[in-house]
Amino acid sequence: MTTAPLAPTARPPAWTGPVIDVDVHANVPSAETLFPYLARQWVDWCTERNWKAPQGPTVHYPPNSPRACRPEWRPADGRVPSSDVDLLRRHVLDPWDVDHAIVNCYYGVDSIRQPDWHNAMASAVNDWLVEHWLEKDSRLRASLVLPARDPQSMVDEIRRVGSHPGFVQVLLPVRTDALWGRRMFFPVFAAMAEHDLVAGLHYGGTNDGVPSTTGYPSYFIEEYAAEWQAFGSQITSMVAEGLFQAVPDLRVAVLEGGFLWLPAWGWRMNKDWKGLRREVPWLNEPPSTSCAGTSASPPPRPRPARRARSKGRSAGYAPRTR
Amino acid sequence: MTIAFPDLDTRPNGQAGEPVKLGVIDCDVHPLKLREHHQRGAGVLSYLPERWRRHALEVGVARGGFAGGDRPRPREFGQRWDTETPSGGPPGSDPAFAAEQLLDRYEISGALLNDLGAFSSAGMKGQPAGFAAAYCRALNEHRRDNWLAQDPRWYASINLPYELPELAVREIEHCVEQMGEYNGRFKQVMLAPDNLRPPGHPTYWPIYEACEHYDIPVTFHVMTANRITPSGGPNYYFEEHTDYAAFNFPLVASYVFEGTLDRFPNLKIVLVELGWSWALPLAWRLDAAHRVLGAEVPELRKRPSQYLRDNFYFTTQPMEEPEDGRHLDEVFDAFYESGMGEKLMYSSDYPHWDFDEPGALPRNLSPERRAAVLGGVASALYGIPLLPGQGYRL
Amino acid sequence: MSGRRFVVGRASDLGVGEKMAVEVNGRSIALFNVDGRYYGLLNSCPHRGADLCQGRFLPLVTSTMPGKYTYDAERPLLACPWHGWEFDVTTGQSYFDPAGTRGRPYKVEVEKGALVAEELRRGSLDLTPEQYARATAASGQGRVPGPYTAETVAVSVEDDYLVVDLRPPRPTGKRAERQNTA
Repeated sequence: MTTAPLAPTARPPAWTGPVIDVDVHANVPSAETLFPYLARQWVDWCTERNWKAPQGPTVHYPPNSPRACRPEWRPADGRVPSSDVDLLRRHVLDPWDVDHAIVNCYYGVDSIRQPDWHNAMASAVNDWLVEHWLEKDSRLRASLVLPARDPQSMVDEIRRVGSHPGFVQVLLPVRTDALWGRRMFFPVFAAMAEHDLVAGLHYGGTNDGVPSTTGYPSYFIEEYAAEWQAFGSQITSMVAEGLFQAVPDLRVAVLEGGFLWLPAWGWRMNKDWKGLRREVPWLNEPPSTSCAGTSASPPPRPRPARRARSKGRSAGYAPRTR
Repeated sequence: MTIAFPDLDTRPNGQAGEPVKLGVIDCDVHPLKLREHHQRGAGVLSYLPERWRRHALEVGVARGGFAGGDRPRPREFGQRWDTETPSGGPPGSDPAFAAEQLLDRYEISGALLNDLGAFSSAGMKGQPAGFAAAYCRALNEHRRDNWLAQDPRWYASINLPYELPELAVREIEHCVEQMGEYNGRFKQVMLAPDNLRPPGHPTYWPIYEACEHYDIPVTFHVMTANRITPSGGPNYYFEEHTDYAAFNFPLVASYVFEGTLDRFPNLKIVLVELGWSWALPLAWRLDAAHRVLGAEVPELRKRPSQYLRDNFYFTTQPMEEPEDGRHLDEVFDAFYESGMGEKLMYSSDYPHWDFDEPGALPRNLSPERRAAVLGGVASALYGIPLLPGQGYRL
Repeated sequence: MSGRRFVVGRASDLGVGEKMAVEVNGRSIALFNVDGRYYGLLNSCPHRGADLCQGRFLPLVTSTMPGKYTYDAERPLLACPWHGWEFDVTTGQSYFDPAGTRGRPYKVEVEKGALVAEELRRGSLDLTPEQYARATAASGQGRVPGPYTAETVAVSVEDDYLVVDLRPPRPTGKRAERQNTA
């Protein structure tokens, strides 16, 4: 372990303008935290089974790994790191003078299989994010958590909660059972664009199958270092399937996926396209053009005044269960 | 390893005033796989024992199929259209024609035959173990008689049932010890990048032990038998072909973090049709991951990027062609300055549609680097001589 | 003017949808018959130099939306035998980059035999069809070295002949001057 502790000092004056941190994490501390946002049936569902948490986060963020949380940010009292807004304020927002931060909650909802419970848990996380994060600090924006195993449920959740002015993005796990570009997901992306939400492709996702093309890795570091592969293939899928022709307003952000691999990836797509475009004739421009309109991190979107206006057109947000 | 660059001033290949030729070795040529099974009496199947020939005829040699179903290439075999043989045969089925169209035309000193046909059996997908071993043996012997015997410029990669390491080692021994005058023509062993386990896993270590013992590299060629992405199958061949470039990431990570390259420090790994421009960013990524998560692999002796420099070889095809050529020059320079460029080798992928001829290398590559890429590195790695007076005209 | 226009064969040698390569004045030129119209392209892909004559005509496919295709068999494009780049043989333009990536087109005319004979006699045409045919049979490659002189020609006045014009489509300025003096 060579991670040096970060001193809780103000950020150096290399940059005096506004700062937007597009990827800070909120962790659901326990299943009980979500009970106020779940119908009785699903509360009992958890308690009858003594179910504690989805397994997704332990797969992608082993709980005691320095990758899951820097040592100095682990609460001394044993609480889950970054599980309430005060911790985030103390560790990031205040010392670094962050103007806005986008909260991503990787709860691993997609590792839950039963469709209705899966949907209920996604809604509960979103309602918890609103009450305990967005409404607690005006600097925060958040990514919607979606029930990623069922396109219709994803659309329903976007319609239910996507108009909340605090939600600026949708968290899409990069590991999925089906590539995101496939047509069954077009309505989901259309709903995102309609609600002015960025599609945020983020590390993590399904625990079905192998996390790489070559069998189960032995080490977490091995899996983590190679996860670029999943990002590359998701972007290629989105491009090849014509998602950006079908939903031209769509914006995709690649979070925790690096970007150094992208230029060469674009060259490769372009070269292949010149000879293979008859198979994907909706690509009327070199495919890297789609990526050029995609940023490795979300564009500095949340200008509160403008967002409030744009959200004014649909005021449909209402927590489902209280 | 040191590479002997040709002395460009002395014009070793001819008289003063004649063009300098850089010797060429092609690291990726494909003999045809399937149709020749039906050449009764002479095809690959005739090399199988009766028990497995019957199996091949009834069940097929590629029952496992391709990952995720049918996604046919736009052309049968993914071929260059002009590689159909004069007798109307499929591409790569006629060694003499391939020699004429590739080796003679581009004055290539030697070419490695990479037999994609073995993968579906060697990878044990939907095949019994005995068949996997017998089929790899049959392919190796068929290639010996039909390719290696035809032209001294052909060299072979060993097909081996790599998911059965004990049998795989036996196949290596057979090819480098029991093939008589052809022992030295089997230059490396070939694995798929979508193995059942990541290739650094100790399961495969007996294979690497044999490679180190015989001082032959292990090579990986693009294959899509098991899976193409970590998130389900792609729908388009365009997509699949782009995705090939990412097969390296888990492959390299496995070799590095599993400690395989500490256990076999002299192992040479050749990545064919798997790109090279990703290597430097990946090296940074591996080092960055190691800085944070290194405690998980405390036995590692070197920084991850060092293994990429020390153990991995890369091949050129399909050559990057960015819209702005300066970007390619910059990436090349960074690749060389990082210490990895000296492991780059030319490959053509004949007879496939995305073929690169020796002239496909970037225009601004210096003569010294070009000489190394076209033939110098491969000649030293494989011990394949560069033929005097033959090569790419500078 | 001599040395810029070449008879390369009978028009009937190149049926509708067919293609052939001819060697004219040291360069290989691919000839195409597209619905009875004849076109010529330098037989070298602007990408990596593959023989375009070994390419194949494929219907033009376009789309504005995934799943919606316009499939136009009336407008075939020539796909390179190697990397599949598509070209419009009437202009030489590539599909994906018409302005920047293009083959070199040559004008191919169909001339009456009588005119061809006369022009050959006058020396304003080169390369006889008979010699073309003989050399083709000898090489087996559909190509023939040239040019030929007019002495041994026996042009059939009843037939139509293909004449390849090596002059640039619209010579202008210096380029035209240079070629006139060549």
